[in-house]
Amino acid sequence: MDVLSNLALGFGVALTLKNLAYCFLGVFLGTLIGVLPGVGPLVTIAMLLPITFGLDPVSSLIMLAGIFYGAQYGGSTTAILVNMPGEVSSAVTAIDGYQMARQGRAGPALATAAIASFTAGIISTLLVAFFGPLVGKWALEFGAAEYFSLMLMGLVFSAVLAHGDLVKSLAMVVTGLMLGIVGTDVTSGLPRFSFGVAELLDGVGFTVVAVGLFAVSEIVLNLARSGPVEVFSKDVKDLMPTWADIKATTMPTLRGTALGSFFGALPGVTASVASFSAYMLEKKLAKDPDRFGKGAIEGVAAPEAANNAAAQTHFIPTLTLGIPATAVMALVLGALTMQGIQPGPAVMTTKPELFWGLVASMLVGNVLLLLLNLPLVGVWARLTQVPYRFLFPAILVFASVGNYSLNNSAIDVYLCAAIGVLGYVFAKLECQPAPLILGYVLGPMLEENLRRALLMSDGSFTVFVTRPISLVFLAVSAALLLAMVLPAVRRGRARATDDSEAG
Amino acid sequence: MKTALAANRDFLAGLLFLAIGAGGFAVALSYPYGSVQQMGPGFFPRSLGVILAGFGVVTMIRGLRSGERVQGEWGWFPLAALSASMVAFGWLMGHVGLVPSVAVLTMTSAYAGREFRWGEALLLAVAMSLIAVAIFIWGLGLPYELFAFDFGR
Amino acid sequence: MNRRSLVAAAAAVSILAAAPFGLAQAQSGYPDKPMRLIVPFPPGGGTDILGRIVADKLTATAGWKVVVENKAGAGGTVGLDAAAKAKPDGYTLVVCQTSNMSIAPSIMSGLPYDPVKDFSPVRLITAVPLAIVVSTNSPIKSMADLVAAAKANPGKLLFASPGNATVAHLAGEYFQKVAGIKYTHVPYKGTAQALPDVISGRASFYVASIESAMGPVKSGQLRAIAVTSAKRAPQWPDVPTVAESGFAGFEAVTWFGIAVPAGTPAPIIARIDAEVAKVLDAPDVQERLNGKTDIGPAAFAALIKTDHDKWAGVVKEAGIKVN
Repeated sequence: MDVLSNLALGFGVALTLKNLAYCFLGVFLGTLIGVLPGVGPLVTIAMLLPITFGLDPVSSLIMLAGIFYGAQYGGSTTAILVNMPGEVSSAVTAIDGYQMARQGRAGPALATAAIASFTAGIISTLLVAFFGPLVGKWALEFGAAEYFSLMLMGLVFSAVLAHGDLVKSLAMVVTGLMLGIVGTDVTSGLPRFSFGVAELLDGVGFTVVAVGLFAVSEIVLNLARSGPVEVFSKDVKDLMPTWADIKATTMPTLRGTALGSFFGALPGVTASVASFSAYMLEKKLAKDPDRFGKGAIEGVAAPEAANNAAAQTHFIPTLTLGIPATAVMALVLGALTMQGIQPGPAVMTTKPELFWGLVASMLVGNVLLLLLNLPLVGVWARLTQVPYRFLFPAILVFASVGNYSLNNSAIDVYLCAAIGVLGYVFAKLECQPAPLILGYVLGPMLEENLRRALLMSDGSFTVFVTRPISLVFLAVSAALLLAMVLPAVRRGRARATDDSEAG
Repeated sequence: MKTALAANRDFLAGLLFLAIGAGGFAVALSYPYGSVQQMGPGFFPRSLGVILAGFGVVTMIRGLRSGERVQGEWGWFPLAALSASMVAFGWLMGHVGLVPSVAVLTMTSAYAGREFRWGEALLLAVAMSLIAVAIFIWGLGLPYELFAFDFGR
Repeated sequence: MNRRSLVAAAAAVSILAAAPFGLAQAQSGYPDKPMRLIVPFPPGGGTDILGRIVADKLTATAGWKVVVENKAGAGGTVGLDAAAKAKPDGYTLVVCQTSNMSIAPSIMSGLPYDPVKDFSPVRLITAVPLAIVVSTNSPIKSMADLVAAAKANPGKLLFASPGNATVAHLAGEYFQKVAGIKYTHVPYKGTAQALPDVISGRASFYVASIESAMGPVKSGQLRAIAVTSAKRAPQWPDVPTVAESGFAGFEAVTWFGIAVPAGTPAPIIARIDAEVAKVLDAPDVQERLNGKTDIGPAAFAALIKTDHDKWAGVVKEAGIKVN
């Protein structure tokens, strides 16, 4: 009851005309910005920060939050339409979303993304409202050992990402892990694989990798095809998902929401891990996992739900612990402190109008996001009917300017071109890019936490099994590994002659 | 089935993995290895290098056995044209400003397509320059000059 | 050292130097086009926010058009390198700080610029002390407790820092040397994962900027046992300094300042300095900064030099080598 009366207070704050306007402005700007690769919510918020100094704390926070989750959603639009992930977490959406667009189902894909994001946003916001401080306390339990075991579990799971050859997929994961090593080693401070290039000391940026691997190589694949360039099916089916689509995506959306909410609350994990996990879980659960990678609608719904849920629960550690999980959250935190507000467990009681106003505005914002994006689906879907000879140079322009704007440096554009070449060669040799991206995302966290855990335990491996949460993750990984290996071994014995296809 | 090595899909893929793995391992030799208890910065890259090279060898052998071919033609021309135009764009941005850079990028990349027409490409270059200026400079306020001529120093 | 008189002297020198040729030109023509302020870190970080405040205020008070250009990479050295190689015409400014001006030369062998020869320091924006914090549940309540705990179990205390070769890391190493104790350094990548480890007590103590520890300290999850500045921090009047705690002379601060490429005409430097000083004096800017500083070109140059020598010593003794 208490929560309900608090929510009522929150809506009282969020539904004032002024705050509604800021919420809309934030969501609108965020969506637009999210579409551009490289230009993310961070840049936008940083630029708008001086403006928000003049606003009262609640309004400025509402607008900043709107930009943040608006951008999370906007990033998936280009991922689906042109295989160019605009935001880190939408790389996963590109896998099946883009295939749907090619089959003339861009409309349902975009609409599904919007609906899944909306559902996840609402549910996870309620989670923030009801369990925020509780979850915050629990997130404190996660130390280096827990993070390592969690990442290891993700890596074991990654085998299901494979479509086609398992060995090649695992090799791609390892390639990604190696790519993730580029840059300054956190534990020792030594630069690795940087070849004396100062710009490489911070590693290869995610946008650079994702745009090169997905967008650039896809364009070359299309241009090199013999016959007239027909990338998208001319036969555009309905714009909205069918009843069957909605039924097929309900459970994936809910499962994605659960995973996303979980990962979002951990300060040491990026949102892309959430979308990857959701995707892998769906593929594992699916009756016919072969459809994944070829336009499975669940492959759009689950990761979209996961990344939007994570976007909302990111606020938990920020608001209740004062610990920013991401750079964007650090900005939000900075904006709060500049306004004289101290985040922490007490924020809900000392500043109820701020906390509950934010929660209510997140609910309102997700409604606005849906209202804004569903009508746009038709407009976006028509983009696929633009002749490809106009479309691909435009994609390349946005990709290049976006990459350039990351650090205002040409190096990122050069790197993107190089990774595009590599991506094309991999694609021709039928090596999937998704496992590489996963390895690239997990690798640094895996190594850093493993070495930190050992440093803190003075070289003792027992920390991984004596800490209960870590033990659970390791046990699940082991069970998963057995479940995958045993049938393969049995099948291998049954038809020892054929080893070309492993699932 | 007999396939030339240069057209053998998995043989080539394995070779690429082997090369990346071995290269990574070789570079990582200069990083301290440490021990299993006290991993140095060389521990991970060296281990990964060996694992990747191993996967590479397995993939090569499987390729020799299956003899699967690379599907379709290699698109070396569009690949070279596209990556070259991106590199050109990056370099030009530092010297001539946003508008000429975007125009050059649009023209050269459009040239990579087989349906290239001069008139259309020119029109597209003008349109893309305008759009880029509108979004990135007016909209986002990024600090790029529209036109510049800066080859000095 | 009397910084005020140095500033005055520097100003006088620059006016004298300008008198024969530059003065009229500097005051009438400059600036006649937008200036860029290079921020060597990505948007949203502490450096960026400072840079944007200064840029915004310069636009408002002096009527100059100052555009922020984020050029991030390698701890700010990529951006500083770009500034070092820019035309010294007064249209390129850069936000520099302790790490990339005074520490980088000691830890990066291939540093592409010389912080002293390639830059003319203009004015210090602010100097931020570091905080030494522990979990509220920790038995350590003061620096004396920390030293005693480290002496009882040499090498067993875990010292968390936001990264290798950061000012916080070096400050921790510096204290080890000053107090004659030994603990194990555990570097993190920023604060996101370090704070939970410190709050829960998995790491013994944490050294980081006051801002990053502020929230958890106020909410009672962390306890600040000292600040590293020479005087107590205005935000935390109750927290003693390390120097007060029995280590006289101990000081480690992260400062941020404005510099221009070397070779920028002296009258222009004086002009920028005057305008930046006006901006920093504004009450609303003061409120965001850590109290008032008044460190102009000459004093700033001296500060860079002193800190360089101090950290070079620490780096050498601790055996830190990045590149």
